[in-house]
Amino acid sequence: MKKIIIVLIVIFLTTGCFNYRELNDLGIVTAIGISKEEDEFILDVQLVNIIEAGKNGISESPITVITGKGKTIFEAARSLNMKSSKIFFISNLEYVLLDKSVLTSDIEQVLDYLTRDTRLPLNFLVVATTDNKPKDILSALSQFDINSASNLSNILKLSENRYGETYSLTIKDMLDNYLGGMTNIVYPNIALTGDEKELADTDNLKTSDSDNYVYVKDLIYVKDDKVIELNKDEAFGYNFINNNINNGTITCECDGGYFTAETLKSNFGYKDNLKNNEMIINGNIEVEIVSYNCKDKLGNTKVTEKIANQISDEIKKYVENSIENAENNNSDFIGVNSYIYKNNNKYFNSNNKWANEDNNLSFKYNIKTDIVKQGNLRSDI
Amino acid sequence: MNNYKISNLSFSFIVLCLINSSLLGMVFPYLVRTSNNSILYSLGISFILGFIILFVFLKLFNYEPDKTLTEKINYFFPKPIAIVINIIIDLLFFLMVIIIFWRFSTFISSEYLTETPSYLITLLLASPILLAMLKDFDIAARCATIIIIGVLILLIFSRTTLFTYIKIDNFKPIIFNLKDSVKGSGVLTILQLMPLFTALNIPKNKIINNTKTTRSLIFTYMFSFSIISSMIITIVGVMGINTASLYSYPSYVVLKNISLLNFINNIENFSVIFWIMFMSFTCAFTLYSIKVSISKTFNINSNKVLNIIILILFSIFIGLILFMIPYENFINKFKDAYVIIPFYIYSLLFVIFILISLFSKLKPRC
Repeated sequence: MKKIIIVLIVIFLTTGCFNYRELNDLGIVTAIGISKEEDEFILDVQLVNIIEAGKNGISESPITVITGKGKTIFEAARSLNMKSSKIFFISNLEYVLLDKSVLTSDIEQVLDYLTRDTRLPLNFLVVATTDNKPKDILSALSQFDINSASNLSNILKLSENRYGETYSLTIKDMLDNYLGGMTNIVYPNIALTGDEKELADTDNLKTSDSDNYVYVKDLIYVKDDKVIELNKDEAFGYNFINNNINNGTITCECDGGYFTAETLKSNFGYKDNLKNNEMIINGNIEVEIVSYNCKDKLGNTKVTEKIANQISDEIKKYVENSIENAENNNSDFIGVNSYIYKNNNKYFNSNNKWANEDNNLSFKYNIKTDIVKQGNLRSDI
Repeated sequence: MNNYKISNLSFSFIVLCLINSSLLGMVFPYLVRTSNNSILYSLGISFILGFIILFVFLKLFNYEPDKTLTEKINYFFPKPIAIVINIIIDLLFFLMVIIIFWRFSTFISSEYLTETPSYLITLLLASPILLAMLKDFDIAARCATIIIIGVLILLIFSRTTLFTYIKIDNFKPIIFNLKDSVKGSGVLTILQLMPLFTALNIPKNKIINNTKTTRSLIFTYMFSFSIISSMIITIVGVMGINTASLYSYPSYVVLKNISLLNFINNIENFSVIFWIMFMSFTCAFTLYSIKVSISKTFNINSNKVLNIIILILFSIFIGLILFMIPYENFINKFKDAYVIIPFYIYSLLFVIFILISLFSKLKPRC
């Protein structure tokens, strides 16, 4: 009898119904944008609308974007309750979009907000926007995915893995970089083309050749309240050094045209010879020739060797460009100081930090490329 | 106490549950922040220091194998002194169980049930503890067996997944700082191993084939230390020292990195269950141990009187926890009080146990 009473008590008292919330009461947040205007934070929140897509697509917007303001980001978030009847559910957050205005001066507050909340995961992405307002990007509808937030995070992941010019920054990596205090955080920079109002209109989804879309423009970092952009070569160099590339695309000029190689494996790392004030960048790359329009016959081993060297030189050029960018701006976004701090602490403590004008560290490159595949063809057409 | 006997393996499971109880809420956050880049040295030093505590435990455990700790104290000392010593030990263990349970309920309320009233969480978590403390050590052994089986499954799953996220760079620079290493290892050793002494209230002769108990205890300690090392390696290797130092519960936050098949996220809530089980078990077992000690100290044989004492003890326990909850933030922040206070309590207990073991040499065996 005693046991039955205990079982009954457990059944009725531990059902999890205390303080419960219906799914309909929740506003599922998929992306947020943070900016600052006249000492106040502006928080744009993208909510998913549960709608049914009919045979001819969707007639109402699958997302809603609302905006709140406050002296702190949390206050801005809570002010949204004046406009929405939903309780925000943030565990499904895909990305956070940071405006130029917060990138330059309020990154600490942003990090505090994004890491203090226990409900937030550690794997959502952080992106920046320098050309558009966060609200315009968050309001943009996607032709590829009904959920525009997952569309953008997939664009970032795909372009990182399959192209190489950008990379996906997670909140965990951002926090790591920030707390390390030695490496400038590099953000993917998002922009949109076309008209922002048209992009937020479902009519934009009805045409097949719309010029309005959101895209990853480039990579940026902040130095002394100034946003510095990385061009394509510098971005590739940064990604190679940081081993962010899985299948990068490298195109080189050759006698008669161009050839393109796709990296299959890429492994970069630093080594130091600090007695001689020298850093060595080692790189081992395996590539597949995916497009070949040159006069030299690919079947010849000397030609493949020449091509491999050309690819190595091209990658070396990328890396050199990114180092040059860092030196020109006296900033270390490629992690040289962090490497020295971790591997040669004595040198780190007794010398000037790299990329300062009075540091005379030089770089040596040791990049080796192996062509491991040539696709379907034994030679060339 | 009944005549049931437990196996060496069951006793090892009880020990394993006890020595892992303080890690999530107390040891790891402090260790990561204090030892910082010397954390691997702290681990090494702690492993060696652990054998000293284990030695004192075994010394007491092997002495007069048919007696509980309280009976041993009653045997070593004149009655009034024995009563005082027993009361001090019980009081210190009672304080420890309050701190462990307080960390346990603040963990649950801050990470899971942020909007549920604290008293409700406390009452809900305390009720199985009350039920468990009413039972004898054979039930504890069965509970420990179930817990360890579950824990091993979760542990293997979470650690193997997390090992793929480890970056060797996160351990660097490995710097030997004597002060930091000793501070970290001292706290780790004391807070890890001292709950073990509650197991002294299980007489050695209640263990089947007890000639092998010493060996199995040493193996259990080494196994437990390998678990702790794997925890530290995954926390630091995955999060990095700087990020891990930032969080109140780094061993919970590190589990947030796990996602199954790239789309099943938020399984940290499931994986962290083993810490919750260790903490609940230790609270229940320590209260059981205090119950045994009270009954032996004051020769209480009536179940009715004992149950009244248990209820009073439990009410004080709940009352103190509810009183402490509003001061969570203060206690957390104030000079790491959540670690320093338990450290001093356990250190005092350790000194008492060393003295008792020294006295045991003076008294001939009966």
